[in-house]
Amino acid sequence: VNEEDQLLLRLRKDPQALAELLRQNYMFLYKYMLKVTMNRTLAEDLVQDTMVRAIEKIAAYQGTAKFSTWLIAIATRLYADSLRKRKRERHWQEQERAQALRSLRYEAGSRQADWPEALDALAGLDPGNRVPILLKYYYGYSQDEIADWLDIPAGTVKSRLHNGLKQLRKELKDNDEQSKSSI
Amino acid sequence: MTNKVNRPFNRDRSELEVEREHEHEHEAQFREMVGGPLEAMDDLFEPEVPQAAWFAELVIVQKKEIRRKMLRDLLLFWIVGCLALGLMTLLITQNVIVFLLLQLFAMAGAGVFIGRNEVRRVKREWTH
Repeated sequence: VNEEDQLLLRLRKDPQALAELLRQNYMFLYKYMLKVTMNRTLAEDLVQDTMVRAIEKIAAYQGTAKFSTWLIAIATRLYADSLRKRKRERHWQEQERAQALRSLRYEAGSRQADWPEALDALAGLDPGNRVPILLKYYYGYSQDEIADWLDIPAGTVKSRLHNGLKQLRKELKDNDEQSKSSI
Repeated sequence: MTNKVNRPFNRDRSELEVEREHEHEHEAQFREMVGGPLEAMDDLFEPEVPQAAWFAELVIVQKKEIRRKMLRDLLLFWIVGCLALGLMTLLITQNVIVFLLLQLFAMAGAGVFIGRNEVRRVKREWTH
């Protein structure tokens, strides 16, 4: 029995075990949220909200899935809900997204790191396509899990995966052609 | 007679295999296009993980908050329950017709509420 299993066994009775599990998963959850939102502030807020929600709902955690998967499910639902609520503020959202992306690019530059075009292309996808793509192809979750977390039919997940990947391919191909023609 | 396409349990093995192959192919394409940059992004933006004490405090504070909310809801439930029961008792002893009308309104209200929620749920399933 590894350390995580021991913590899971003590989860409901011992608040320390829950605190330790949350601490162990903080980094993983933050990195997921950052890739999904492409926005540091929003990612931090959503991680904190996810932790609070996890504490509230811990009695519902059955232990059938990994604790990290359970957290990812909560975080994804929270993000999807926030997108739905803010649908009307789309224009403002776009500006905020562009600003957040600029600041990520700037931060990468200030650390002398590259900010590849592929990340810009990914950030350019609609969040409705980006989230399923990351969950499926980067994290390896199933279409049914993604459909459940985003509260959409599995067929919609499939079409979003298809559209997102197609758009990503097109965006990168266009960028490639542009850079070739400029040479 | 059955529509094979819409029933995954009726699909041919080869059909499922082809679909799985496509999935693998798409995953490989995605990894080739963005896999490396995403891993680099993970390394670049490492968050500052708060101290263990912060998490312990968060759990304690949230558990207290949950308990407080639960007690408040329970109290509210008892107050509303007592009020409703008192009103019903008063009505049934004073005016049976008004009592029955009130019951009818309550049932109709519940029906409308459930119906509206169901319509909203179905609509959301089809439009997302």
